[in-house]
Amino acid sequence: MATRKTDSLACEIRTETSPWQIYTERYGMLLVLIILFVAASLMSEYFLTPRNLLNVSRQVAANGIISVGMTLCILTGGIDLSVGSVIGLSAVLLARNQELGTLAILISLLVGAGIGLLSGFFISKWRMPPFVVTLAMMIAVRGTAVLAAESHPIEGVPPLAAFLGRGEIGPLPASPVVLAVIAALTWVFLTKMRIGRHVYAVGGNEESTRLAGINVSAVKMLVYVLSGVMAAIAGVIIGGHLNVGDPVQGTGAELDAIAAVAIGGTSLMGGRGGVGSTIIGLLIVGMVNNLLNLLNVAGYTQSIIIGLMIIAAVAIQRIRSE
Amino acid sequence: MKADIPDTRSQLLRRLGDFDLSKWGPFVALVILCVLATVASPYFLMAKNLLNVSRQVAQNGIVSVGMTFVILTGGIDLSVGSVIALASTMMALTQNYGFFAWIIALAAGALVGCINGILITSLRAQPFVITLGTMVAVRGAALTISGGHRIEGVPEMFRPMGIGKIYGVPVQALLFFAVAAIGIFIAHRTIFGRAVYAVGANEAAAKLSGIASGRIKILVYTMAGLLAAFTGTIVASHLNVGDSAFHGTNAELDAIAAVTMGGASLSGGRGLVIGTVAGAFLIGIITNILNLRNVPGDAQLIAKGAIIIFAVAIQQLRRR
Repeated sequence: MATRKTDSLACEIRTETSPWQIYTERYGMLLVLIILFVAASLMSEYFLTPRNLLNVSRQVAANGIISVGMTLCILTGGIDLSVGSVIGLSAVLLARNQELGTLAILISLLVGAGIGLLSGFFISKWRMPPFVVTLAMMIAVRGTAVLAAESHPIEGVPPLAAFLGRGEIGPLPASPVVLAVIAALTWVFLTKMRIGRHVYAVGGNEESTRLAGINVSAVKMLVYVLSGVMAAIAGVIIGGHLNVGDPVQGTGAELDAIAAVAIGGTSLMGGRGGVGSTIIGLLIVGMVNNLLNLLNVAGYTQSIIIGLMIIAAVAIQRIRSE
Repeated sequence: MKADIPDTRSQLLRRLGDFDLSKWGPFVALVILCVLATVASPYFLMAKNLLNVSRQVAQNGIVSVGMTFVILTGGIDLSVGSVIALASTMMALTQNYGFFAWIIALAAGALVGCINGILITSLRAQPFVITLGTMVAVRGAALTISGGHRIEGVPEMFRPMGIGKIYGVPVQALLFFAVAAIGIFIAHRTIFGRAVYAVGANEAAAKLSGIASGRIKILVYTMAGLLAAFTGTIVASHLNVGDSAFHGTNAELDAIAAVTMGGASLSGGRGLVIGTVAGAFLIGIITNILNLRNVPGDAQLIAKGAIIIFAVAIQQLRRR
């Protein structure tokens, strides 16, 4: 009897959310993206050329990869401010170890994973706030990057990094293909794998997740490791693109990534959102930047517009959920 | 009479047991650090060096006092660095207006803070995202009104605010101590201050007990904006230039580091302004020792990161 009662209650609650609400929650920002796309095509004749669109995809690729990693951290209710510095360190190590060839890339990725593991350890085992831990990592890793580079940009990268950064696969640039692969894998991880569902559970309610017997620490460590690896991949791509390992590369990248995640509609409180939303957020920012460039809007004015867009996106999501 | 003695002794013992390290931790760390610094460099304890440290700490310190109130409500303000740039630019741009240049710069900062507060409360949005938006937008606005150039000069009467000394003590440091004293008074001796703690500890409960939490939050962000703008005018007066591109970059992160090292919880409701002052001095003294020991900048960054983790980890261990 009791179970039947709760069942009927659940049904009632479910019917209260109108299909319209579910529809807008899922596709609201996609609609914004489509409208922007149409508007951009009308406002600039150059926008809808294959060359320009491929250019946009290349410009957003590195930021997209770290945004995917950031999404994982934010879904658990955390944040990773160290990704910009990891980009710098990864690019520097890549250039320093260039004679090792492909092994140099592997070293960069391992170092990225190690930094993520360290952050994850402090956050999950010592229960320190993610913001402070990754802020400290951001400072320390940037210092390590400058130290490893001996304060100078190092020229030259292994061939595979150069290919990932500026090569082409058929008609497509390689870096957006890497982003697409990573985003697809992460989508599978989050939606089809058990541990991926645990990521949402931790962000939704950490205490009840723990009580349900899920290893919360392991989940948290994993997301920071993945975020570190993805930041290192972005570092390899940026270093490969410019053929240089510069310790200042990736400065401010963490904020661009958080902006993409927030505009896409993933909640910074954790537990709600996903990779699809982040990619939509990323494309919105990338497209607006591109359009403003095509329309010859000054860089300063562009940042005013991007800032207002972040706020507008939050406002849209608020109105939608009411 | 005799019975009183063991009683007070046991009271004393109990008090020692109650000794709240999360409250006093930053000061204990500060004392230890000062001892270490004196051992590490004979120059550290010289009056000239200590006054120098207090001047270097002042700018971050003033921003951090405002940030403390924001963090006490459970929020965060990422826009303070951009507000510093906006205020320093406004100060230089309107230098012909004399005293009013300063007022205009402060008003601009307070306005940005007020907008932050209104957006956060009316949209019930996450402070991190909203202030990230205003951080980007305000930096863009500062660059736009300055045309991306450094603007030389500030009103002559404000130069002492940046470079002046009173009996050898830098005016910047005195301003910081004044701001900190007012901050401590507001936090502990005013209804507003107590309401800030209440909102941060449990917003729903605060609302139900009749506190207008929205208004409190708007005031707190306005205060943070005002103090950031004040810092911007000090920076401009110090260097006699308004720089929209470089002034205040990363200031938000330094302020957040000072507040957390001072023992405040990022989830709100717990923390002290005096702790933040200690936190700002901790960071300043660490930088100072590393400079005195000629440690290169890159290694300094590594040490700074490690010390932040260490300081916060200790506080975390105590809370468990």
